[in-house]
Amino acid sequence: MAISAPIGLKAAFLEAARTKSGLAATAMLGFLILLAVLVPLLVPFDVVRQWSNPGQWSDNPKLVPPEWSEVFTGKRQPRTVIIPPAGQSGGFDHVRVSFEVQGQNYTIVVLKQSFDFQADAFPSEISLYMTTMFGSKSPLVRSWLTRPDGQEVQLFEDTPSLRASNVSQFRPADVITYSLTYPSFKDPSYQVYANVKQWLISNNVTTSGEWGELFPSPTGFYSNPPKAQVLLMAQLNHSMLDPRTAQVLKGKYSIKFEVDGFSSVDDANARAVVFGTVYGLIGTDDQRRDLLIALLWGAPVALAFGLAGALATVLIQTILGAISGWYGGAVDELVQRTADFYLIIPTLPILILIGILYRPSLILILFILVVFGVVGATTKVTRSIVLQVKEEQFIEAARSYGASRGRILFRYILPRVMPYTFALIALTVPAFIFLEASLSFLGLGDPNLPTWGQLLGNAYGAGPAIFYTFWWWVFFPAAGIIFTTVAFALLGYAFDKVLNPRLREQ
Amino acid sequence: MGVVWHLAKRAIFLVITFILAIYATVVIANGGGRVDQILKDQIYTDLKQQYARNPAFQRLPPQEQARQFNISYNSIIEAQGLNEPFFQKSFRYTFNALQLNLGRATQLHSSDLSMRVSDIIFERLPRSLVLFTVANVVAAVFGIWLGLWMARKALSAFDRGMTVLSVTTFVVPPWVYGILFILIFAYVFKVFPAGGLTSVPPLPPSPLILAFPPLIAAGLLGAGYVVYARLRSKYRLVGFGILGAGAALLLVWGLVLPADYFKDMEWHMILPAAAVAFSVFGSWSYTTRNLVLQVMDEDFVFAARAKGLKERDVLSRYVLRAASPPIVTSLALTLAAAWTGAIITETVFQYPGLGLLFYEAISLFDAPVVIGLTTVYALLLVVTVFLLDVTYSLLDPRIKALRR
Amino acid sequence: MPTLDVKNLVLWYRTRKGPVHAVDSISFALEPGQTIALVGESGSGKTSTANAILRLLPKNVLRYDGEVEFDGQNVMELTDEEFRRNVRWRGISMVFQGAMNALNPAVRVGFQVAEPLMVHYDVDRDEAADQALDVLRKVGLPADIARRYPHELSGGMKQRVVIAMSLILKPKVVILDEPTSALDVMTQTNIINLLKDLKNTDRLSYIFITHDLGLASELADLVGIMYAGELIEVGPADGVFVRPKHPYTGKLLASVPRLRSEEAPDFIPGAPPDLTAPPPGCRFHLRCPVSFEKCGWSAEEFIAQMDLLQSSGEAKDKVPSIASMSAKSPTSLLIKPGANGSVSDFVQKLNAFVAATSEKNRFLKSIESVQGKTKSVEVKLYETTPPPIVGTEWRAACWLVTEGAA
Repeated sequence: MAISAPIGLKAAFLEAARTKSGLAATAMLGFLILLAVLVPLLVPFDVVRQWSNPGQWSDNPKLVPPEWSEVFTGKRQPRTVIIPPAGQSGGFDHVRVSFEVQGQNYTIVVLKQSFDFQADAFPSEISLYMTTMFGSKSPLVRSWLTRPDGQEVQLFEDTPSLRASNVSQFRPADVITYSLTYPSFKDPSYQVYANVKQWLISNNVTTSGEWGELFPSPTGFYSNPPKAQVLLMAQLNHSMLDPRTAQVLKGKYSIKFEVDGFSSVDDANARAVVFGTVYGLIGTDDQRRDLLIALLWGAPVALAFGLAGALATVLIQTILGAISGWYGGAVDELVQRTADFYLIIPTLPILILIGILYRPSLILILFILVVFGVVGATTKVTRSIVLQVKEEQFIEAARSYGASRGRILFRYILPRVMPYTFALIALTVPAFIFLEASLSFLGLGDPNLPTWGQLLGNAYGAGPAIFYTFWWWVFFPAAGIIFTTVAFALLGYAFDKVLNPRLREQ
Repeated sequence: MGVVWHLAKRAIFLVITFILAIYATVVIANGGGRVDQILKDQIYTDLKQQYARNPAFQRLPPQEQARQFNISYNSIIEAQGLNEPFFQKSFRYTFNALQLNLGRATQLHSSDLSMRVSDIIFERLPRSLVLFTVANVVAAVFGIWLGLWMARKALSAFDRGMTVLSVTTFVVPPWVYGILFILIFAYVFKVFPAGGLTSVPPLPPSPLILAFPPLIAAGLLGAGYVVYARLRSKYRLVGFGILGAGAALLLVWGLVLPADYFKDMEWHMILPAAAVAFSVFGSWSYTTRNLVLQVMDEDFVFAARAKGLKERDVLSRYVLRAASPPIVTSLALTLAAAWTGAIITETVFQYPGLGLLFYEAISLFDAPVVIGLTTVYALLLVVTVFLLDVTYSLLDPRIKALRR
Repeated sequence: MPTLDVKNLVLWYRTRKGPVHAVDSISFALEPGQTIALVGESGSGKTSTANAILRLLPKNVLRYDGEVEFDGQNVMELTDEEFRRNVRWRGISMVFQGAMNALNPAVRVGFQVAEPLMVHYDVDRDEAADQALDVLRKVGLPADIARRYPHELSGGMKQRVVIAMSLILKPKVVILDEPTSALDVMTQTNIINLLKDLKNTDRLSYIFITHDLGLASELADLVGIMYAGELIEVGPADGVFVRPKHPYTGKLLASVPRLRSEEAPDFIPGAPPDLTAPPPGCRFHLRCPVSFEKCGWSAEEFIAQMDLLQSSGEAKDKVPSIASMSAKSPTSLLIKPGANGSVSDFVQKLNAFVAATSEKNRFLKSIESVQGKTKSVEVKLYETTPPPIVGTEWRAACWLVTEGAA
């Protein structure tokens, strides 16, 4: 029983959408399109434009898994706590006293704020930020951490040289960063190790000898420094020396800064960030960027890029194939030979070369891909379909009543080819998405716009060990690409099934 | 007569295409002369720094400094042939490439420190050739076999499931599977190495003969399957025995034989080969299934069945014979394309084949290597296309009839 | 004992639109040396019947049962493998529609003719080739043809090759599936003469599938007329072709154009029914010139016909105006009279219309009663069953045919 393929794009689409794979594809694509429409509303483009700007992301913890991953560990993981500068709600309490002794002006500023810590794990990092305003002489800045058990630990002492013009605004340019977790050797915050050591020895938790064995520092430089945030926030006993056995001391901590200034204009402001060990829906990367933003923006970018590329190449190829099959002769020869030529030149290497030489933007990459795709598989398929349709009676009829060749091509032949074209577009979209991903993976994509391929490339570039430990960095972008391409593959398959009736149930 | 004329025409055309493709690559590989500029800039800054560190030079008067600087700069430029206009140079490069006179690399070298492009390429070529041929042939054989099976059970749940699996796996390129396989097999389960050609440092070299057990085992497994499945029942036991021998050899090789250089290398090839095979088999099974179903609908297949042929004979004698020309074509073309080495796949696995070489050459602007590689690729493709043409011309009447 | 006795053979396909009743309970018997011609329009199930007898089934079979007795054995009880080995080609072979497609283009003709010998009798290649040469000679082909490829032969030669192929195992029954439909008239005549000769010399039984009544009358001893998957009439050729019992057979015979006849050939109005939903009752009733109340009009068909009548210009003023119609059950429907028509008026008008035009619009005969309700009119139709097959030697399935009556 001969069952013919449905004629016309709409009929084919309707029938394809009714098959199971078509249904799945429509649902998946519907989700992606919805996402693509909503994303620019949820995450404004301005945020994405800051993707390569590290300052934008400094308050996020570095390389942490998504918040929901604490289900696997079974422990309550800390979220990031930010204590804003004085003057903002919840910010540091600011007390400033200025006085004069023997004709010399002095100013004392105390900044203090507490936070409640109830998680089962230690924060990943603690950073303190300060701005100071002073006269001719730098003030003395000291800071302490007060623990829930009443212990007070001095963190560091500094005489900052960066002079802020205005402390109330806390402008980024005026800020000095004191990282307690990753201090560099010449930073004042490196003192935290010595201070903690002193504190622990005075509390009989450890001895100078043991400390030296655990954390060797013959020249004062720790080759394998202790984790300050663990020592500062663990229950005060011997187990705290090993991060694997240390117990979190839960309760209210407070951070205090004291600034002793030597003029009447002295003032200071502070900010503190206690970084969590989990972040957001899908975690962060090594530059503290919220991967969710890139993952979400990856959808519209991939969709737009894939669709635009596939539409352009397949349509051009279809038209060329149709012209070649319909007119035959020299035109046909030219198109066929061009196809052979394209078969022989190595496209991807050339693309990579162009990527390295010119660092093209996404639009330019798209344009180059289209140039390299003006002839290809679709030209051959279309040509063979046209050669078949050409023999059919209705073409003869159209010819016999005097329709022009161009008219027959566009009014009779192309509409017959369109459903196949649509199937091919659906099957070509994945190729484009992956081409872009390939280039981005090699670091040759558009640097200003995060794409899934770029995320994978960043993760891979950060080192192979990243793969296992930081699975979220690899898994979600890979899942995004595969989800999208599989959706298009299923759509193409559904079309294929409808257009080749032999391949489906009759 | 017609056949010879047709082939001659094709050959002439392919040669012209080949020359054009090489010229295009020469132009693009040099960025239309842009690479020259980059290299010149590099030489300029290098020289500047060199002189800046030279106190004797610093004491000279500025004019003398400029003069000396220009003399040495120009001599280097001239020595490297960078002063010629690119347009002229492009023809020289093309002509050399066509003579397979690939020249010397500017930066890269082979493991024995030869900078001849042909040495570098021929050191890497066998690695890519072996990896991608094995992976593609395995994928093709498995895919075709699966496709036949799917066609035989057309429209069953098995067929539907496998079709969806095939369609959805082949749109994803091998390097994505590479990443996932490395994640799963190298880091979570720690069964295979994550990449590279051999362990670092490499195991001591071993006699070449030790490279063959897995190949022999694969041959035995294939032959055993054929004997077991295709011949009459009295040979079944023999087939089973051969299968067993193959499996045993594989096990012995994998578990008992001590690790050596080749085993180590083959061990490193498994994951990349699996990634390539996984991304390729789907297109084989899907196209085979569709082709076979299409041919099965032909009247002559119906007639064969009516004649009382066994289903298996109908499939092998009628269906496969008719469906094989397109399958052979795409196998040949895929292989030719695969030998060019998937650049990103090799990069992901840090597998030092042609693909990784290409990437390295491009990153270092080593134009002679890029041009040399492209020449080799294009040559492989041209030869494959021509061989296909010859095959089809010789089989002409029947092929034409089949293509009707 | 008949060579082939087919009883209640059924073959349904599964499709997305629903089951296709391609072959619906077909029965006929064939004595040795006898030929039955299966005649019908395209899509009437002739080829499906042949496929069902040789058990060449597509993948989407929904129902396949009945009895096929070959040489006294019910071959439906055999397993697929037994059937393939013992019945296919050895007992029943086939000449395919469109010989050019039935030959494998990539294989030499001689091998294709000889292949069944090797498959079924384990004859070695050379001997099989010798026997193939004999058969090729028998069908009037030169020996050198065996080494050629199909595309090197003319249409007539290919058809002879296919016939030779069907005879190679000396089967008792050969199914001829439109063996000549793609050939020119001269070649057709040659082939038919060849088939006639073979029948006489080898005492072959043919199942001759065709839509060409002329050819059927040349070769057939029995004629079976197929319509919408059913064998509606079967009987001796000289009887059926001369005095057909079933109205459809009559129409079919009348539709054959005759050379030099003044009479224009008759045609059958309408199109063959959709086999996914065959009409109730007699499947031909929609197109039958003599249908009446027992033939099985359903409410839906009634509504469709009424609509057709209303929209056709000629009867516009005579048809009572109707606002809407809806089927209530398969045999009853409600009609809402059109604007400014009372129910009782409408009943009167309808009755008058039926009385006046039921000879022409035969579906009106199916009205059993017309009843006026408050706002609409209920029309009840006669309930019917499909007509039984009446007769022994010469059977027909029509309510107008009764046992013994002509």
